Amino acid sequence: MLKYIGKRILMMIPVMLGVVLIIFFMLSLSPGDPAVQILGPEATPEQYAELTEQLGLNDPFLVRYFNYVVGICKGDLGTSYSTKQPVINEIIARFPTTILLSALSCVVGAVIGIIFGIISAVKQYSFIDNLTRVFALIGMSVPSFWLGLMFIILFSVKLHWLPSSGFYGPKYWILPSVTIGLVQASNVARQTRSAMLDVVRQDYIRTARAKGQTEMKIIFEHELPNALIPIVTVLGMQFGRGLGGSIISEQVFAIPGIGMLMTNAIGNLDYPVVQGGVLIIALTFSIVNLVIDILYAFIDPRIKSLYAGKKKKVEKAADVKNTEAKAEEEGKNDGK
Amino acid sequence: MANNNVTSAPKKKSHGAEIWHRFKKNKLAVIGLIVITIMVLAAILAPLIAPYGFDEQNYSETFIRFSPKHPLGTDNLGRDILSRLLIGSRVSLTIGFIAVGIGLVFGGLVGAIAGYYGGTVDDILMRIIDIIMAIPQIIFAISICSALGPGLVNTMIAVGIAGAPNYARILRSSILSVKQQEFVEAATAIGASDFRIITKHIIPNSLSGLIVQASMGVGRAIISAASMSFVGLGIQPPNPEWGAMLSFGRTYFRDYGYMILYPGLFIFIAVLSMNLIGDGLRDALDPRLKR
Repeated sequence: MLKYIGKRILMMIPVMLGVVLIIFFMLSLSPGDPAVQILGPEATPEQYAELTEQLGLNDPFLVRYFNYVVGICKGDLGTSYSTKQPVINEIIARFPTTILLSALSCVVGAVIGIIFGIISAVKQYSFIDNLTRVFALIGMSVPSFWLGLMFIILFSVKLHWLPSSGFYGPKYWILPSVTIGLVQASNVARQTRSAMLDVVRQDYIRTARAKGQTEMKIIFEHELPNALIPIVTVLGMQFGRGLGGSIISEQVFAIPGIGMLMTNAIGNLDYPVVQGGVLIIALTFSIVNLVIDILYAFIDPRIKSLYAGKKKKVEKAADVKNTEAKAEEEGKNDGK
Repeated sequence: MANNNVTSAPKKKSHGAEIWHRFKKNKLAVIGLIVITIMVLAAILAPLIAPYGFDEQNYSETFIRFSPKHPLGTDNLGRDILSRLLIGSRVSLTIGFIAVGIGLVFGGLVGAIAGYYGGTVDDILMRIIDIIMAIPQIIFAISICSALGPGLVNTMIAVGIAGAPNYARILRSSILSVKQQEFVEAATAIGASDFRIITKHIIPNSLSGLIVQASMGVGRAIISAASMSFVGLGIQPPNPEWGAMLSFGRTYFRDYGYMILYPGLFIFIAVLSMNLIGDGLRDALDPRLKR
């Protein structure tokens, strides 16, 4: 297991190098000139030339890329053009906010989504099932930033219950995390429902029921654990989506996180900050995916046995791999 | 899917008719189809049916919530919101459909190549896709858009390319699974040519997942494009794209909530319709998935 985790962490390195390469490449195509942006329109051509040289913008693409990667290894993500602060400091200052918001939203999404998903599957075609399905469809179709604005109108402007902007304490956390969480819950509920429906018709459930097991025990000890893999998969993806969506949601609620940092940086052509932001979000997303993969092993002992180091039957391994891949694929298709 | 071809033959019913028959049974999907058709027609006819021009300003009639002349009100410049929404639907719907088209072409091509050839080609392409997928989709789209600059075409490209890896993975995995099916083996055994196997067996049987994802992708693309306009990339004012209208109305939304209510509702209805169609197509194209 440890060997597997180690291998996966090593595999993240080329992925991150690729991410940096792609972002670097795209920003190098960008039409704006950072030197002009920093100095304003009144500077002399010599000043522009000097600053361009100083920023290293005259170097060939690959040289800049190489220097940047070397910098990353030393924990240096460059210097912000606009604030002249090291990018890494700016990111560290805002990272906890973004992570907190993503995590809170994900918790809201998981709790609501899983509860309704379970009820929906256990009482298929009941009133709650129909309600959940309608709710899930609505949640999947509503733009979250619009929902956020509507909630602000309702809960801050009209009812004065909650503050509409900022991120200074629990009271401020509720509106953003519930908004994003509700949208995520719709995906989670959908996935939970379909995963549970796969399980509830299995023979071992009938066996459990035949031997007189209580319904609660059947749900939480037999059904849910067996339906957990696709649910966990979709949760991981929702977390990633929340992380990416922070670039929008932080605008809506005026939350000073990475997303806000990046939107401002894009407007100011502050490339080092944009690169740093994308990199840190991609890195976090990859770590979440890794954690999800490790969770699989704890959820499904068959997967764990694969990584235990013992050489199991190839046939069984292939079989489990297939179901895992299939679950993941289904999760991705439904969850997106 | 394979079975449909067989069972439908004696009934003398084409595959398409069979799918339509199943699609029709899903009431919500049919409603979605009707709504989106009306929206597309309204978008096409917008210049004719919109009561005012999208940039027609009237300073004596600003911030009207409702009036018989302006059923959805007017904005801060006295522009009729209904007219702007109708004209804006041309932009928003075009972005939705074209972006998915772009994503399908790029993603489909990459997925098909990876699926058909397998081996090293597959490995390399899939690693690249892994890298792209490590960047959340909306961030990737925004990065592309900030590289290309704002504007209609660039937004479509950005949203399209950002969605492409999804389609590539779906098509690849369905091609991989179809390739191993018995009916492909059977076709090989009776001496069918590679071309026939690919066009008659592999492609039709691999497409269903892609079609379902594409129909839902239109909704996602509309939301992505609106999000990008919302943060100031994407469509630029005074063009009345739905997301741009939301972004614009945000300045006044605390007092004039209707300015953002309607654009959001239009986005919501369009996306919901596409999702309903997607759900219906999923059931119609692959009855085995039906729950």
